[in-house]
Amino acid sequence: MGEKIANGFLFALSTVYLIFARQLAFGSLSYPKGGFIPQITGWAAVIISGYLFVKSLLGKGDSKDVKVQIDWKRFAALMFSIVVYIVLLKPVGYIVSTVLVLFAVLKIGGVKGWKIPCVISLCTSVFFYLVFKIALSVPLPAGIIG
Amino acid sequence: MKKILSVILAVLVIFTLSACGTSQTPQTSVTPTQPASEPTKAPVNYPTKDITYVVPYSAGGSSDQMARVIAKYAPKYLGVNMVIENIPGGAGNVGLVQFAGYKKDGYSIASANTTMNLQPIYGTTEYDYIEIFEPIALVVSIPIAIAVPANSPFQTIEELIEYAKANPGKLQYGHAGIGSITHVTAELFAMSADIKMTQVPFGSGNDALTALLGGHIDIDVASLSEVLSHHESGTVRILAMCTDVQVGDIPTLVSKGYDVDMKVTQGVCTHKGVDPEIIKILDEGFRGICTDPEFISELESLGMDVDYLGAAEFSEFLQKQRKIFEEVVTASGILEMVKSQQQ
Amino acid sequence: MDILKMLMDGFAVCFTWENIMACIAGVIVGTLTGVLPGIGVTGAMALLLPISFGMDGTTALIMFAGIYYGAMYGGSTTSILVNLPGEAASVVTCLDGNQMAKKGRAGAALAISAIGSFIAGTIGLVGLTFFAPLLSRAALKFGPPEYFAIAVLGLVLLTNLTGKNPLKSVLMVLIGIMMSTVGMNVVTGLRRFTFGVPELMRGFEFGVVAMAVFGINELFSTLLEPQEEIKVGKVRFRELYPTKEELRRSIPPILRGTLIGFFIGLMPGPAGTLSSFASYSVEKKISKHPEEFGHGAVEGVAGPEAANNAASSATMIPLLSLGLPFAPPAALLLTGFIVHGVTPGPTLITRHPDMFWGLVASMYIGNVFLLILNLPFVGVFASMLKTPANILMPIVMVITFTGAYATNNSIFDLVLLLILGVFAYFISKFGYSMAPLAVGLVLGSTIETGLVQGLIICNGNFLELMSRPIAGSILAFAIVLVLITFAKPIKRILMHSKES
Repeated sequence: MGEKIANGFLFALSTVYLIFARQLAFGSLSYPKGGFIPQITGWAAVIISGYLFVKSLLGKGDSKDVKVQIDWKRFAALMFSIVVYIVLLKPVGYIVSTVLVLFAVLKIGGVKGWKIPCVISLCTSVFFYLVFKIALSVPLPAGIIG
Repeated sequence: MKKILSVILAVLVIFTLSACGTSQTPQTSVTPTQPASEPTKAPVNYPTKDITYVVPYSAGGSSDQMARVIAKYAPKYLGVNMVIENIPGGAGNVGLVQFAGYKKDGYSIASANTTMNLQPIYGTTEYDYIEIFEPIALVVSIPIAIAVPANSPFQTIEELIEYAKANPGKLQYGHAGIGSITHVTAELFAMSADIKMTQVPFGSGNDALTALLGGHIDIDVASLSEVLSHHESGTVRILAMCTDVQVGDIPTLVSKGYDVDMKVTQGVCTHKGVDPEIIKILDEGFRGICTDPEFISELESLGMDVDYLGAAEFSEFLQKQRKIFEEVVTASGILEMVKSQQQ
Repeated sequence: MDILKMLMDGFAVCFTWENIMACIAGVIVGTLTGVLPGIGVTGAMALLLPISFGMDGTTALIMFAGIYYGAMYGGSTTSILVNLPGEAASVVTCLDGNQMAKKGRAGAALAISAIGSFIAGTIGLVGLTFFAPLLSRAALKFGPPEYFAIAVLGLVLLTNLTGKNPLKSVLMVLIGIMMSTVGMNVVTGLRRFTFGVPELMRGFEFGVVAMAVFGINELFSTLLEPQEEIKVGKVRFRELYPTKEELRRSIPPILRGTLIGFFIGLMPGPAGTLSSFASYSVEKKISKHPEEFGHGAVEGVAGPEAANNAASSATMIPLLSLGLPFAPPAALLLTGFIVHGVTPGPTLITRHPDMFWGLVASMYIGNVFLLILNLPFVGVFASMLKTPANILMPIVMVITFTGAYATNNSIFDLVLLLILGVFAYFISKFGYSMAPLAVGLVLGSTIETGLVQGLIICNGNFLELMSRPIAGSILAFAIVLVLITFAKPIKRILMHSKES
């Protein structure tokens, strides 16, 4: 089942790419233009992904029952945490957002208790802030603090 | 299950709290040093914290290098530190677009190069930069040269033009990218000498130079900083300068009667709409930096000549430059070429 | 042997306190830069540029050079330990290096990577010392048509790097190429597939993509799936280091990798990345146990690591003898030279012999420092793996995100990291591997640029392109390879039709 989705997704991706590639001028073999490589690549990708997709639909796919044991709840929580991190990073600042997200992910990963995740989150965030900002002079959002 | 719920709850709470909190200026940086005393006692209290300097190119390029040297002198003339932020991509567009979204409080500035004035003409940019940015200073200008390999049959620019007239389209020249200042300059030269050459686009001046040295192209229209050392060591011969400036005994196109005077310019700008008092302070500050003899010599050692213009003159200069660009780009067919790549 | 004497003089120049300190400082900064993803070598060098104004020219250059090849040593550390490439050129090391770590052979992998890097770096330097002018003249003969030919050959050779289904690998390569077309192409002046998102004008940067499809992918696996306990147990000192068997198997790949990396490094482009991919592909093809690749084959670590170090030594050649930087760090080195009033080129060796030979000598010394620096730390690094995965991985995640943000100061890169990471995670469950995608991404723009420029130079005539001696022979070779690959299936089809 999963393989059908994966192959189908790639087929859809290739098709969309090709549609946009067709809007570009193709040129010719002696004077290729912006659409030359995209269209050739797009067509090849559509054909191959289409073939693979059909094959898997007909049941002749590769997956010998790939044991896909994903904990969907954890996945959702993880996705949510990362999205929140991305949203919070600039307004709230690096240290605070990183502490929060690291704490969240540690808990998602099954780390028990509150003390250990807290300590790890705080230390790691401050450590990397110092390394990147001070030692390497890379600007990181400061946000709420300072 | 409970654990995960509580985590999500906690994150939500904090999210809501911070959303209600005060909004911050993006990219305010915390630096350990304290600003020196403010040099000008102006009615408006500026600057009181570090200024962000957006460089829309990656670290190491000439804009970035110039920015870092400026940042070195900023504390002396503006009283605060400058924090360089590299936002590369899209020939400078990505960084400029991001910069356009920053708060218009005068605490962020950006590189204002030839690209900034040239790109919008092709209609491929988000904004027209000279409409939304306020020029502060022109710092550096780099002349443009026409170079051929050492073993080229052409000894003078006249020979090249003669050959080109007799063999239209046969000579191939390299430049730093379609629509770039070197491309535009080359076409301007071709137009005024009434010749036809074939252009070979490269991703950077460096790539074009490599191809020239390998003899894969006949001519390279490049910024002087790229080819001067090669000219001096003899691996390359500069036939003429496309800028009206004397370099050694290389003739200028102007002196030969061709109306070509183009150069690569690098400057600094901030947003339009910033308090005019702040602009004045920045103008004064940059005047100080760009006339500092040590600053000038440091830039010179990097191959860049300081050619300072203050805010008002820089603004005029940009308007004039834009008009020339628009003319050349249309007349030479470059504009058409860019548009024809898309159906 | 004139050259040897000059090299000795160079060593004399090197052995001053400032120069030695500069070398050590550079090498350490370089290693740090290499280990941390997202912080590029060029960025680190640019940062130190204003500081270097006050230094003596030779000293400054020694420091910059140290940063450059130091990063090549450091990049593999995180690749091996946590499947996160610290530098673009270390992506390939993830493939087998991380697998070795999972089998408890992290220490061995780290050690072999350091040893391989040392041998390759030193041999590369020898090449630089004796053959620099000759090699650079040869390198110049490669123009755009030749780059196109090489990129095509690279594509043919590298397509089936991993994974069992060749067709799926080809599809991933194509997707990589498609990704490389996104963005603003300076050569054609065209914005493609940007959909009004300004950050897409930058296109998909290899560094961020590599972090996403290798690092984040790994992260999700660890956090979301039940893990088998890694029997690390009590790691004895002896177990930290490679066995005699592993060392024996590593030497030939290291030598081959050096050769491959050295030649690829002479050409413009992402030499380190390409040479490591090429070395991996070669090792896999000639190995007597190809099925080991992707599961911890030591050759898959030794070869590529050697290759990328040899490439960085080789990149110095066009820089020093022609003044042509073929990679961004080399461009910064060039600036370093110019700032101190020296322009590299054919006259560098004769006009400033002390600077040239001092620099070369410092590189030998730097390589030794790095070996000394890295080997003892192998134990320290390997024991980091004893941290439970569900604590280590979130920390790695933070490093990844910070590094990705730091690359371009852009939140967009984080979004990219997430989306690509999720994509890679799901796709790789179904037989699609990420290495071919990386190859397509890296080679895609070279193929397109080379083709466009090559055709203009050859007056729009593809046949003229093929008749250029170097380009033509490379392309012919590529075509032959493709035919050979298809010969077997075609034969099978023909035989079937005969039977029926």
